[in-house]
Amino acid sequence: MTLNYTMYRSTTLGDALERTLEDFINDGSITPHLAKRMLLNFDKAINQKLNTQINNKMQFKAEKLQAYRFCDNVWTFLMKDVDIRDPTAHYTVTVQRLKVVACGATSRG
Amino acid sequence: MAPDSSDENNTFSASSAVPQDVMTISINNVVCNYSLPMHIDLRKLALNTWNVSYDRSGSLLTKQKRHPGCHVKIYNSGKVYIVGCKSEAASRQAARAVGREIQKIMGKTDQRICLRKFRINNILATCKFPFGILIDQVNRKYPKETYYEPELTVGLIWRMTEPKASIRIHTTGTIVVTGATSEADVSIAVEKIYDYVKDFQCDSSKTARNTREPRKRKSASNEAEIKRSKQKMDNVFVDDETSVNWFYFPYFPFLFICMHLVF
Repeated sequence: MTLNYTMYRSTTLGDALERTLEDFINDGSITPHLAKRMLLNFDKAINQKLNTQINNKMQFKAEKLQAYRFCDNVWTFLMKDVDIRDPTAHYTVTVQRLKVVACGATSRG
Repeated sequence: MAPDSSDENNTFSASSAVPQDVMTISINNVVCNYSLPMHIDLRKLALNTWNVSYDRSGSLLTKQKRHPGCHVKIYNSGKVYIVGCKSEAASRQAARAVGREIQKIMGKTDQRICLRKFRINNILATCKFPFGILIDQVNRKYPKETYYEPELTVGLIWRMTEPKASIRIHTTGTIVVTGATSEADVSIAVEKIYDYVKDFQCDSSKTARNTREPRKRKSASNEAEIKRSKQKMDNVFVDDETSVNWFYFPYFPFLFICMHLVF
């Protein structure tokens, strides 16, 4: 089994999945082993879909890059007063604080 | 009166000092390095600090500080290089701040960690003299200390040994001091250079490039003829008639320019 980035487990979707699985484990309807398998499946699916099927592009421009970090091939940015723009939908959101965690893209995509 | 004028004379003749209020030496870059007496876990430092960049392939961690603005390179042996501070004091402050951060993250706050062998490697400073300088004459008078190759660099390089420094002198009067190891050395170097160079003053406007006359283009008539001939050359290639050459023969300027192109 190939390993995929597990960072998507902390997104809204991943978080919801984890909580649901936790509820099931507490009820007793699934084993923890099964829950782990499900999360692995989720990683595989979300990585695959994000790499191949989703083509939305968003642009963002920030007033200030407060901090950055590059370690273990992972970039982390902390930005202040960001304008996020969706060029196709003509939609702009202004956010006070934005944290971006970026892992290197694999060549297989 | 007489005493006043003699006083004035005294001040003028006595002052061989550089008029410091006119010329300000601005220090642009201070490079220093030191070593910490401990082995640093760069990965731990990278994960717990912001504004760092740690490439796994190298044993080097680069960091940027905002106050005072500088770049820091940290090695896992404990060596630290700091580049980009604007003064000696700021460099020292940055060095101690970085040392303290490393001490905290490595968990050695109970021990007394000193900056070992703190050394300022290089100071880069610039200064503008209020007059132009005839650098080729300077080169002729001091051939041993100076190096002037106009085809390589614009300025003259003076290697000074007293305060060890390398000084670039430009015709506009700008002086760039590199390789000095302290701010005091920089001022001494500038003063010495002033003494050497003040005999070769010239009006800075004469050496300035702006006053050179703009190069004149060739006369317009010639240009128009060239244009016309080019258009005709295009036409020649488009039409495939043998009589074309005879048609254009009487145009003397066209032939003249053609011959130019051939030669």
